[in-house]
Amino acid sequence: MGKVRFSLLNTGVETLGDWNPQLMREIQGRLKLRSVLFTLLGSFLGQGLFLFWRYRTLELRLGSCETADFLKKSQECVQAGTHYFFVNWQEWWLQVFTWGCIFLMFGLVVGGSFMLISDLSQEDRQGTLTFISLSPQTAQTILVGKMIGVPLLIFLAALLVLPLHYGSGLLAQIPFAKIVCFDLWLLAGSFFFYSLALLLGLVGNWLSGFQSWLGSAGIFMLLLLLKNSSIYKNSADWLYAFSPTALLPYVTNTFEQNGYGRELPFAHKNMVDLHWFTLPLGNTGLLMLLFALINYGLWSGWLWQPLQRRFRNPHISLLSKKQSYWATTCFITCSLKFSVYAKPSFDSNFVYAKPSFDSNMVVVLMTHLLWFLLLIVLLLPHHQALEDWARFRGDYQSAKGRRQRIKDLIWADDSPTWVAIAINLGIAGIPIMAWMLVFPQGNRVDGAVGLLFNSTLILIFALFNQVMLLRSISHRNLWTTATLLGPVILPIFLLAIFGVQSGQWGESLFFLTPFAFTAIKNIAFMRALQIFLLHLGLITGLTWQLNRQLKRSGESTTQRLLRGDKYVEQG
Amino acid sequence: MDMSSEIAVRTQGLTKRFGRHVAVNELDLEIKSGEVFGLIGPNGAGKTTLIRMLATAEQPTLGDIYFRGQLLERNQTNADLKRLIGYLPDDFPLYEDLTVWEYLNYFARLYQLRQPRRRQRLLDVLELVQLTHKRRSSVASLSRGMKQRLGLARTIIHEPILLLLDEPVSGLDPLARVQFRELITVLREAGMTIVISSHILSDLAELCTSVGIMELGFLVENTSLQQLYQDLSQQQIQISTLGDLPSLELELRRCPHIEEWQVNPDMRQVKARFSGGQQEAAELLRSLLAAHIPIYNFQCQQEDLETIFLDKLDHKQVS
Repeated sequence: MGKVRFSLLNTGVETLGDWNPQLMREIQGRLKLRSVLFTLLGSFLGQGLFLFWRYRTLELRLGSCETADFLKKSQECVQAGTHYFFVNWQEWWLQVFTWGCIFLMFGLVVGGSFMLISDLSQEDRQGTLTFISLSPQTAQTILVGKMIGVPLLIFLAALLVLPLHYGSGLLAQIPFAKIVCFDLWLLAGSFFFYSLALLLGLVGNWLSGFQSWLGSAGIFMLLLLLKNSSIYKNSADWLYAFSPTALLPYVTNTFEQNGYGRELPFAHKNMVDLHWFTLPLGNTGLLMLLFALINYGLWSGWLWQPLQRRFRNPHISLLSKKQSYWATTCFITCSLKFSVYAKPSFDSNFVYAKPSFDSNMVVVLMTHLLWFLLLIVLLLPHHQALEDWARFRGDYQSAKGRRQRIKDLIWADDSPTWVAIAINLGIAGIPIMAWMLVFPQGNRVDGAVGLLFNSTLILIFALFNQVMLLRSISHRNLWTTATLLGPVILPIFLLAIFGVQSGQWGESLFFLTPFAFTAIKNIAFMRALQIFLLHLGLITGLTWQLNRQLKRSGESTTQRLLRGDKYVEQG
Repeated sequence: MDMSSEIAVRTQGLTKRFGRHVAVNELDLEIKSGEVFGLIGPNGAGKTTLIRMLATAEQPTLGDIYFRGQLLERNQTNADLKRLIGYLPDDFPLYEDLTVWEYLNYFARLYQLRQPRRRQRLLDVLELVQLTHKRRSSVASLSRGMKQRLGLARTIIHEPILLLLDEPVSGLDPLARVQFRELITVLREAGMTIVISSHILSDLAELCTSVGIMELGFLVENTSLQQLYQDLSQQQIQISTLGDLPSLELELRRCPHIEEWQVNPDMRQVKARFSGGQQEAAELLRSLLAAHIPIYNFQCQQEDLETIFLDKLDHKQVS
């Protein structure tokens, strides 16, 4: 019997190892007796301390419900007769369950992300990743193996927490299916954040080990930020679809009891107002769950595109130009659908529930800008690739060559990105214009002009970034960050320092920031036209400079020698 | 088709640029199956870059690589071709948290070896690299020589047809070097195609069937070792005497097959370039003895690879 069991185990191990060798390697490297014992001890000790902490917060545990003040009584006591109260243990278990869910989420998502970024950047630094990528295994196999294998000890600790998680939920009278739904959302969320962590691990080696702290702290802050559930009815609401705790009010029935006397953490009481286009997402938990699963699936899919590209070739741009056109369509469409004008629900906060065109437009333009800043980074070709393109393909003289150059600028990975950014701006502009038309009120002309200014400004940023990065410089990643964020932040900083507001002297500066939309109403047409011409002038100047630099980069050594350069590198 | 004439690797216009520096310049190369191809050249000649491109660890700027006539596609997984290649770089990292068996088993799985073949292959390879007794030891506990042999075991675990070794013996002690050389000999006899770069030219001379000499990214020489010796290597005769050197030099001047010589007065030794054959060498020895020169050593030698590389090809620095 023992032999049969061993043989079955052996077959299982072999099958798992053949299915995913990376997963088996992680299991062998991590499941050492000492680490497992430490994890078991940590998990049990943590659970004990957690329960003790929750018990200590129950002030009326000693049976003093009769003498408690009204507030405490309503939270922690149940009235069984005219003068007879007892501690509301169901409510207490609900608190335990909710806090448990929150800790589980932070532990799984933040802890796992930290381990993944740290592991991948370490492999990248040591050079072991190169050997794995030289094997015939696909990027998916290796990275899925990493995703399941690296946080293995965290999964083990989480498995040990499950009895308490389900036990507390059931004692709080939460249906089993609802707890499973939360766990499903949490798993999908973990998959999304782990994909993000893998990408940060692959691209963040220039931060020399700091990326694991930075990445996981960023994810932690985002999840923490989303504990506030004000629904603004604009693109910012989209973030809730990425937070596993957004399902908690549906699981704990906070809406039904309308928060009577309750102080549950991450309560998301306003979630009921969440809309996606005309779809009232917040109405039911099931709709939220389905939406979150689709949302996680879609954006995890987009994260896996650069992951696969970078794993195979560390010197390739994160997204191909073709992928960027689809990604922009997806992103802008998804984000716009949250900027809707919907009838507010009965009990929601009136101020937040009545979205105005102006406030929504500002958020749309900000989201637009942030996406394009990210896109500039995602499309950025490696310096060497750009130089090689300029040397061998960028300067064809024939008509066919010129056609090839245009094709390259639209589709090729190693060509400059400004044409692709311009196309993406066009792609993003169409749904935004359509959204403005659909929105029932507001000055659409101002909106369209704001979008135009924003688009030309983004193109200026993209060209400036490319011009700066074509120079031969060290610390390229720092320069990328500085040349992208500098021009965005500097005018805003100047506006803040001088206290310039829309309608005042110096308001032209607004047109060099993403807030041009707010200054449009107060500026004369001719002045706006002048500033627009300035934008066009900057675009022309930067394009000319970029082409000049590309031509120089593409010169052969002979051409440089003939021009009389003092120093020409060998080769 | 005759297997010996089958081309294992072919490159066409292979170019790699780093900044403006051209590390490998329009390189056309053909390596036949079963050949042991030695790459020599000064530091920065482009040997490592060439090997990395062949190993698919580096993307070429221009040009194509064919393995057994099949093109290596850019930015593709190339799973079938990767199975044909084994690559051991100069400084390769290992997973120190695994045991020797776990480490090899992991790579065997990565290269899709299935049971029971995988187990047998692991045992064979461990025996070949003489690490069977260390199979349960942690990788961290191995000596440098053992780690190098484990690296080689990892490289050949999937039975590649092309083995790419970049400075495989650098940093090894003499004994480990000999052991490693023996291993390569075994692999050569097994019919594997091997590309090896090394700065220890005596090792290459012993192992290689052909050599390529690289300089400034160009392949300046690509020939069989036999042809290289035939074209560039001259015979030398080393003569040691107990008597005085001037009388020996007087006799040497009379010999029409001696072109020039070097004198080592401390050792009372002369090293002369000799253009004659065996008959002429015997004649020279006879004439020296007839002149009563007390010779105690008379040795005919062929110029070695290092001398050819340094003298004939005018390379200043051997990498």
